[in-house]
Amino acid sequence: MTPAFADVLLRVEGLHKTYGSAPVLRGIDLTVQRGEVVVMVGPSGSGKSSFLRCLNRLEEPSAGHIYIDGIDIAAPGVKLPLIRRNIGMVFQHFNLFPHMTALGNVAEGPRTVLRMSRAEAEKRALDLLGKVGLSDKIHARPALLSGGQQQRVAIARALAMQPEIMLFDEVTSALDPELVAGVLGVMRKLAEEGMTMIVVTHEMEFARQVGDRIDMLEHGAIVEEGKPNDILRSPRHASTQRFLSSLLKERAT
Amino acid sequence: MTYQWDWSALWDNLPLLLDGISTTVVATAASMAASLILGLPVALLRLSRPAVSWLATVYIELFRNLPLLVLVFWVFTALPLIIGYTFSPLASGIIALSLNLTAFIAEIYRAGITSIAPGQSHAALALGMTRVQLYKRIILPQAVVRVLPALGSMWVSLFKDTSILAVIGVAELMYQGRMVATDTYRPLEIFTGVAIIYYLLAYPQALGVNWLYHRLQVQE
Amino acid sequence: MASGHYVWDFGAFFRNLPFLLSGMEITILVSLLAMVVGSVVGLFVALARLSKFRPLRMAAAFYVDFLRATPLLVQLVWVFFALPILVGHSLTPIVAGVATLGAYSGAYLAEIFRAGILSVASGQRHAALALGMTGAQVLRRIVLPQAVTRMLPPIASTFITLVKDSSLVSIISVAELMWAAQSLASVSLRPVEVLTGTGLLYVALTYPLSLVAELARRRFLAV
Repeated sequence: MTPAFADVLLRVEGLHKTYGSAPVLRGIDLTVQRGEVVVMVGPSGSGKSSFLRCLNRLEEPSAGHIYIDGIDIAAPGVKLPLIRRNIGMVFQHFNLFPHMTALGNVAEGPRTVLRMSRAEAEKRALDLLGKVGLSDKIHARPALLSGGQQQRVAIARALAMQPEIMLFDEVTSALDPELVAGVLGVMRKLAEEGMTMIVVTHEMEFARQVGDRIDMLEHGAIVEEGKPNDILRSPRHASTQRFLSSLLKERAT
Repeated sequence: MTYQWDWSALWDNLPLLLDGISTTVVATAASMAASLILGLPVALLRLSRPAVSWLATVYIELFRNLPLLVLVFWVFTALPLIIGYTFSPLASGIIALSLNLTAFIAEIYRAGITSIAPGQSHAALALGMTRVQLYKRIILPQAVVRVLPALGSMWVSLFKDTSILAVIGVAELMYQGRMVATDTYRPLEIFTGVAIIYYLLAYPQALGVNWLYHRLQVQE
Repeated sequence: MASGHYVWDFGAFFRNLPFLLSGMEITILVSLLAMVVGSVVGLFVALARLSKFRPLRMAAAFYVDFLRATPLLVQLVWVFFALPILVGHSLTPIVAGVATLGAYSGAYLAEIFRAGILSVASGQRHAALALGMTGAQVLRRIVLPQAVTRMLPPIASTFITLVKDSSLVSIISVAELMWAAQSLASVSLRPVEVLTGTGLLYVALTYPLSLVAELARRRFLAV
């Protein structure tokens, strides 16, 4: 998880986002190095999801710069489909395509976007589905899969594009508790293989074991940032303390 | 003073009535085909930016609110004078039915498209699909299945609406019925027969549409 | 045949607007009367379809299926030309028109009423019956009040369809708007302007109604 050489993959400068008159993101500055796993935490409404969605411009930033490999993707005139190939996103509600099988879902990106042949795309999909432990479910439609299985297919689908960075938007929040571990296991394996990841989550144990750094977001700004063990044991900012203790209370009940 | 029924008038002239049915089917099929095709661009226009979607809205509201009879007469009588070209009664009828039906089908398409959960669009765009690819691979394949029952309903309504074309001289079932009724002086038997024929044709189709509704339950 | 552009002249249309508007009055009258007839018919047929008495249920179902499977035009022509032969007594055009439109929309309204009544969860019926209410009381106090709000939007669109369908009674010589338009079109020799104007008059009548219906849909069907 610790990168072999320091190499900035993502640099966010002064990212602002306003919905009408309500500010959602207030000037976020953030750097992610290749191979780093950044965990973002914060109360609901803090802007975590909006932040992730701005990174692949599913939401439009109101101001700021987003440099991936040195190129500002928030600049006008950027071809969105092209930059999105390089950024993988996994959603809280999976968003699998219900009219395709698991294999079809994972092969869809390579086929339609990367213009691979059906055979090549399906081969890649088979590999990835095996990697997430779903080789026996390749012909199943999403409706027949459990939440955890659907989310693993969704991860495979994003990986099929061979992105440089993976964004995870509360991907275990909608899962039954017993299915969460399976998905986190896949994400941990991914991190160990050196994938650059930004993970929005409430799973603090995962953050401690897999994260290289935790960023705490509140009201659209980063209020604290540091190594997982440091933040979790002795958070300095009052909001971080409040947020973490409320999480622990939830766990206890 | 009981009425003397004489069904021979109906049986003897059945072939004429059956001829009418073939015209009914042709008019229905042609109008449906045209509207299925034209309805899609109108629906997509309605879903695009407000600066241009108003065009589609005007079309849809105009042709949904205009009575079909008025439209049929307008296409048959007024349009030729405006553009200097006369259509055959059947062509006029098909044009009028298509103008009307396209408006309804565009709304059906629109409802089908917007019923696809936005999360799927997000996922597809996040993979790097263009909007065209999104529609072609994800939205339209699912929307088509969802709107099939509503389209089936439209077909059955259209089938009945072709009877209106009789007033401009299209030799479909109703027109043939009127002709035979006048010739045989037996309107009761003939028109009763025509009604029964429509029922025997349309009712099974309506049952078919009900089956479509049951079969294609939407899962989200 | 004109090879150049058509020269529009709405003079004849505007000069004779009062004539057309008196036709429109008949259109509105016929539509309202038919709606009343249809509502009464629809309620009886709906209740018949929900009754425990099987022959009644089947007769009602057949009524709905038959009237919805045959074109309105066929029904109008039958009631005006064929029925008098059967009963030995002719009907005036407007009576024939209102009766047919009423019976036809009644078939559609019956289905709307039935669906509305069924949509009120049966648990409530059971609770009301357990309290000792009669079937009629359950209907009146528990079911219908809730069903009515749900049914208002489809009832509104049935009325709008009725207004459009009323144009067909011109064919059995009811002097409503379409009939007036056809008379005027042939007399004035300006069918283009008369028919275009008439179309716009119909839209002016039904479009506001459809906006009201849409408002009703948003208000009453908001989940």
